[in-house]
Amino acid sequence: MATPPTQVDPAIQKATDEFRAKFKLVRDEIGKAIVGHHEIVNGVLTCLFTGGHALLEGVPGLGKTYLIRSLAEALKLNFSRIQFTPDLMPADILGTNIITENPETGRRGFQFQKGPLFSQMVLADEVNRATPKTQSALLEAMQEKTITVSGARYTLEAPFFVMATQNPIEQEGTYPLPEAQLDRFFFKLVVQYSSREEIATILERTTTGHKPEIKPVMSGEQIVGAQKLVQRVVVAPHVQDYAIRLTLATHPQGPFATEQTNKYVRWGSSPRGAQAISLAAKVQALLDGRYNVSFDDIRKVYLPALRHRVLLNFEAQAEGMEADKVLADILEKTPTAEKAG
Amino acid sequence: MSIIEQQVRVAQRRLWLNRWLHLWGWWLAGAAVAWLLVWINVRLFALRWPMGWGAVAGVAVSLIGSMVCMIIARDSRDRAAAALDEAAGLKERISTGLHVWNNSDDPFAQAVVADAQRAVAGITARAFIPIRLPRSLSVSAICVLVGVLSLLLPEFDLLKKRETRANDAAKLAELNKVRSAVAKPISTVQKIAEKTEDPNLAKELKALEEAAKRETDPSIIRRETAKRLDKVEDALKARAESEKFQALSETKKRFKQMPSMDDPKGQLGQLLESLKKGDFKQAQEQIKKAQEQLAKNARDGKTDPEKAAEMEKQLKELAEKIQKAAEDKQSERDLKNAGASEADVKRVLDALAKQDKEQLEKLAKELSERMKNNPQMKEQMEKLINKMQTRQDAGKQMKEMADKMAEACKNAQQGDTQAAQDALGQAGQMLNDMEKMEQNLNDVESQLSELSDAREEMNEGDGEPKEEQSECEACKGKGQKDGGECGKCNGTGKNGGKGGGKGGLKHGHGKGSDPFETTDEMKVDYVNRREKSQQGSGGSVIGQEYIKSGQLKKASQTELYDAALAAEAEATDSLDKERIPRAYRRAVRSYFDRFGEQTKEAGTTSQPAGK
Repeated sequence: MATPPTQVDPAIQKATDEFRAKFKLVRDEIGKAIVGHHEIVNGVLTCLFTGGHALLEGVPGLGKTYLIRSLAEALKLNFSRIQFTPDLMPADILGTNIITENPETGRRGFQFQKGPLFSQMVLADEVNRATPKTQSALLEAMQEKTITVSGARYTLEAPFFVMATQNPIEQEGTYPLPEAQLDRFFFKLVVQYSSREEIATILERTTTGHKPEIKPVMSGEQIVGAQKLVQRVVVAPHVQDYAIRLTLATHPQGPFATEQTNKYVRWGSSPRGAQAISLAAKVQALLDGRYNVSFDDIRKVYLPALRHRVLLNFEAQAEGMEADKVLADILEKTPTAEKAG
Repeated sequence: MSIIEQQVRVAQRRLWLNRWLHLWGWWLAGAAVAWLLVWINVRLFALRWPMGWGAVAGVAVSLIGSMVCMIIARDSRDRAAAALDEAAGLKERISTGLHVWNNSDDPFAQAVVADAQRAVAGITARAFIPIRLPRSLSVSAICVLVGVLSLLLPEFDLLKKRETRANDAAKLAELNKVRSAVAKPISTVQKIAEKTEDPNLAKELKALEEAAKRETDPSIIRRETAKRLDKVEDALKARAESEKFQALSETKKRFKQMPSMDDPKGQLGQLLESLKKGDFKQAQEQIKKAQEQLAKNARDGKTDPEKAAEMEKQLKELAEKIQKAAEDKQSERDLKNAGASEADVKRVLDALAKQDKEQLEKLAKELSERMKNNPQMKEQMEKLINKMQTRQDAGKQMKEMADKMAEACKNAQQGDTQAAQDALGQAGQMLNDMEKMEQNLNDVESQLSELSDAREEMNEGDGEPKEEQSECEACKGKGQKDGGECGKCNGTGKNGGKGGGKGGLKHGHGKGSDPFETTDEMKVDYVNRREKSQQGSGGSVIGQEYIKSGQLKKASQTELYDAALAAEAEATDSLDKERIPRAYRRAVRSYFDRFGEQTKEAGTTSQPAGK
């Protein structure tokens, strides 16, 4: 058995230190505009550094769009905002072929006009207001990071990051996102009301002519580098197994299903849920100065990673049960280590 | 060994110990509950199960079972590392580092290991994984306490097993007691059988041993043993009462009845005294001395005529006395008293004289036939003739001896000392034969005595002693009232004098169950019918009763001297044959000896007392 190393590789030490510093830097820049919502900011940044997409849900006026816009300003990335409306068509976001005439030759031909999706950071504002057809136009871009139009496939520039918002209260004239679409989102972050102190700060900032100056602090290359660093964080088998069991516990009648799962869950999480947990936990580990994922890291990211991947049944809806409660129950009842004997 | 491994190993051992304590607690609780359930059954049904050993076994099983379970479900090294992580709040640094240490060369993985090394350096597993007393041990302690308290539970014995067990134990004890009691008689019979080499005795012995081994009922063993002992005793008695021994006894009796020589201190006078004492060995010595005296006289050639005459005179006197003692006058008197006619007496005596046994048997049959109307007389006659035969045999022996003495006397008178010595030698040989026979008889009697002792020993303790009886209230324990026997206690002086039981082999105070005893009063039916009755001198005898009456005073037709000797002989017979209990033998013998001496003195000082 080899002698264990006693010192961390300086290069790795430096990379992880830089990651933490950049993360803090971006967060601080956003913090110039956004008051409070630290968990939401952390969640959004976690999605950014894992290469995932975020879905922000909250009542109007809580600063969802402003947060994303602030993030875009803090990063040196191409940013486009798409306001989803019922009459929005897929071509409106993907792009379309248009007929153009060559002034020199006079010949006419089709030319692809890129849509707003061809950006590194896309804000899909009020995404549930568009029709499912238009919502589904996002699927390929979010998963494959490519767009295929009229047989031509276009690769999006890395990093590609979709952040969608939706309003949970205005259900009339909206189209809830289909499960396949929801599953593409890495995190679903629920934006809560601000506290008394936070509102006071918001008022101070927004009613006094104060304009926050957000500087771009991180480039696309750095983000891609950070994403690669995150993937190197070690997950021990028993920790990974914990994440897997937590995911399987959302499957009704499954081997790890809890009583509430069996009672309220109609469909459980896909493997994408476990992937999201694992990657997000790695970010948490790096932020905590570790090179390995812990059970606590898993617990921290469990709700935002799985809440939109669990589909409750009618009984749950009738009883006012929410996915978060079911997941909290699973978290409470699933042991970190499988009981011996 | 790295510091990670050291700490993980410590943590692993502690986890094992904690797990074992936890498991042992449950196993011990289970064992205690099981023991308690069994104990309750034991108390309810009075079972005799080794609960002490059961408790020990329960503890042992709990220890072994918990060990096995712990080994099966023991914590792995990874699990120990995870437990240490959790306990020390190290965010899975140790478990992850331990996993990737040898599984990955990735610098990031090595960074994890280095981080784990750094983290574990500041902690000790002992501090974070303490040895805890689990809750299961508390539960088991409560169970054990309940078990200990249950020792106070009284025995209910719902199935009455205790009673059955006590009965069985009593039966077994009784059986063992009886078996040990019959061991002595068996050993005695074995000795006798070996000594006598009698096949019948060997057969009885075998049957006795088999019965003692086979039978499980003590009463049957006792009965069988008593039965076999009776048979053995009967066989020995038959030997003791055989004709030759009876003749020897008769001879000794006759010698005893012989009057002393004129010079009882003389050489032959001492010989006669020895014969009277029944000391044949001493008598032989005397004869031998007489022979030596004769031989010495002949060798020296200086025979004193006076001494020779004295010797001859003594020899003659001795021969005559023996001759006279050999005569059987008693038989004639007995025959006459038995009612035989003069002619019958003569015929019997002739047959006796001729030693004609066939004739004697014929005569006995004839006389018995004649007396068939009187069964008692018939039996008496048979006994008498047997007795006369014995007397005849004894008389014959004595006559032969008297003849040898006479021959010795005659030879001495003729100066043929050698022939006289030979004749005396033949007489000595006859005494030698008698001594051997007496020895045989003593052997048989000794065997009978041993048998009797063994039987007494076997019977000791049989039956339960009667309760101590209180004094009779009527006579205050004196047994007499108003000058006569107390009617209430029948003269015993004890209260409840009729309480003696039956069934025990020992005579007297035994009390046992009588198979024929009935608790109900026996029903009696009276039947009127005519029966044959005996014919007495006053007609048919229709009833017989013994009554107390005054002394019958009448003239005696027997000479006192003879009567006394006969009584002494009868007493000797009683001593020899009637098995007077050993404890009383000496007293009885001394009584009759004293009586005999007085009679003898009366006989020597005065002549027979007429009538």
